[in-house]
Amino acid sequence: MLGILTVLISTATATPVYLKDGVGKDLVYKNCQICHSLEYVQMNAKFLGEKGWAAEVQKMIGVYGAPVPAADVPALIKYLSINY
Amino acid sequence: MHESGPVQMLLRICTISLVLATLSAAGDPSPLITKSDRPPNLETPVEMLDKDGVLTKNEHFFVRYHLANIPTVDAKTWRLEIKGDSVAKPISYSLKDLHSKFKQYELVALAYCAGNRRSLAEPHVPGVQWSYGAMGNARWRGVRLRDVLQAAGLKNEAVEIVADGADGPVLNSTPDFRKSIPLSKALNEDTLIALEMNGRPLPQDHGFPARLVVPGWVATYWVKHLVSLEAVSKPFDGYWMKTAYRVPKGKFPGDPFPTQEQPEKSPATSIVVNSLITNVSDGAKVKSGKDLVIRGLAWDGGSGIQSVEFSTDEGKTWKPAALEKDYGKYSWRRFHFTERWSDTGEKQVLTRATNKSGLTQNSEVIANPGGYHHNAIQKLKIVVE
Repeated sequence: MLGILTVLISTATATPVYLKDGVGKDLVYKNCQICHSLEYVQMNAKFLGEKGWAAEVQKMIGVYGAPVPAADVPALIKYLSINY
Repeated sequence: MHESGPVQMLLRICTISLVLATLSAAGDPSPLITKSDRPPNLETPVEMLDKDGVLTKNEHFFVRYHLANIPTVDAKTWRLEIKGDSVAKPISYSLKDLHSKFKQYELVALAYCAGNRRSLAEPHVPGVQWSYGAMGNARWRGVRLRDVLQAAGLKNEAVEIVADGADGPVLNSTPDFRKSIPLSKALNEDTLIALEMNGRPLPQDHGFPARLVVPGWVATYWVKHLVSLEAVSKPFDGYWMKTAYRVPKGKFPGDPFPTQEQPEKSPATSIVVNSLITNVSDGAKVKSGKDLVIRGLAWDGGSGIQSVEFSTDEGKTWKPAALEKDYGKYSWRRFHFTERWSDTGEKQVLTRATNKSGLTQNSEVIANPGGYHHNAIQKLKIVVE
């Protein structure tokens, strides 16, 4: 219980980033937040199409070693390109 | 609604904590613009650069991190290791050693993010969408990098010095942030291991307890929270050198970095000559017939600023701006000029800086995949009423 509390408090000090609701949002929370907060998604909104988002996701996996399960990749890209 | 089980209790405690955190944050509001929270990437508003003048206050200074695992360094136990195949006697120093065993030097230098103004790039370049404020100018004090290297018996075969900081990736699979500089720059008397910033110990966000200051070069080389310096006889091929911070070969002027050259790409090195109007924002309204004092900052990669000119006729003719006090060749320089319009309507003010090597700003952005070195002449819109 104390462990959960500590985690909740430590994340509560940062300004939370709320992403748009949509199929695949949970995959962004699960995979992307391990290494960085989600302003990175919002910052590049408007500019990146499906190809651009696919390249970003592949860069995170290939260059930065993000452990995104292969099964999550298509839905992750789809969510990002539809919503951002 | 009136239940009071353990979950409700937990939620209540969390709510209280959130409120307390918000209150403490509200008590000391940061004037910086948050581009991202984790890792922290914080930009200085242009108004703040204008207000601070030549020396940007530590608490107004932009913050850049690539990776989110950022420890708090304990000054008592911290050591800086000098190692590598090109030192005869590897050694490590405490913070006290650096203060007491080496002569301290001081200089004013601009820390300038290579990706500053990336958000203005066309076409859009992914990455941290910096506007104009990923830059700051400070008085740095510390020891010469070359003194520390020579104390460890630097050998003739050294070609680069690799710097590593205490901060690192969240996952082991992510390349750690390490940068190298050529030996010539490492041995330059102005390259420092800074321990102080504007007369205070380096703040945590700016690299406590020690960071590299590589004057004239973009801030990616100014590694924070230094823990090791490695003198190597072969070029360092880490990701942050080999792949990141690269520009198309021959497109930008700058100091050479021969051991890191690639057939198509060069590492971004020197800060390109540039300027920014800081006291008037784009689209500002002014009264017809009234003097408008315009001021700003101009900088380059260490030659020093020769002149700043402005144009009110789309660049057909240029008039000189007045340069203010010189704080040294690595510092930015303030300028100002006065203009008055007798008619009304939409006007445009252009400014361009020229450095002492004769290099001047580009009229258009030079597109490159990383969105680096944006130094196109600023075109400021002013509405005269």
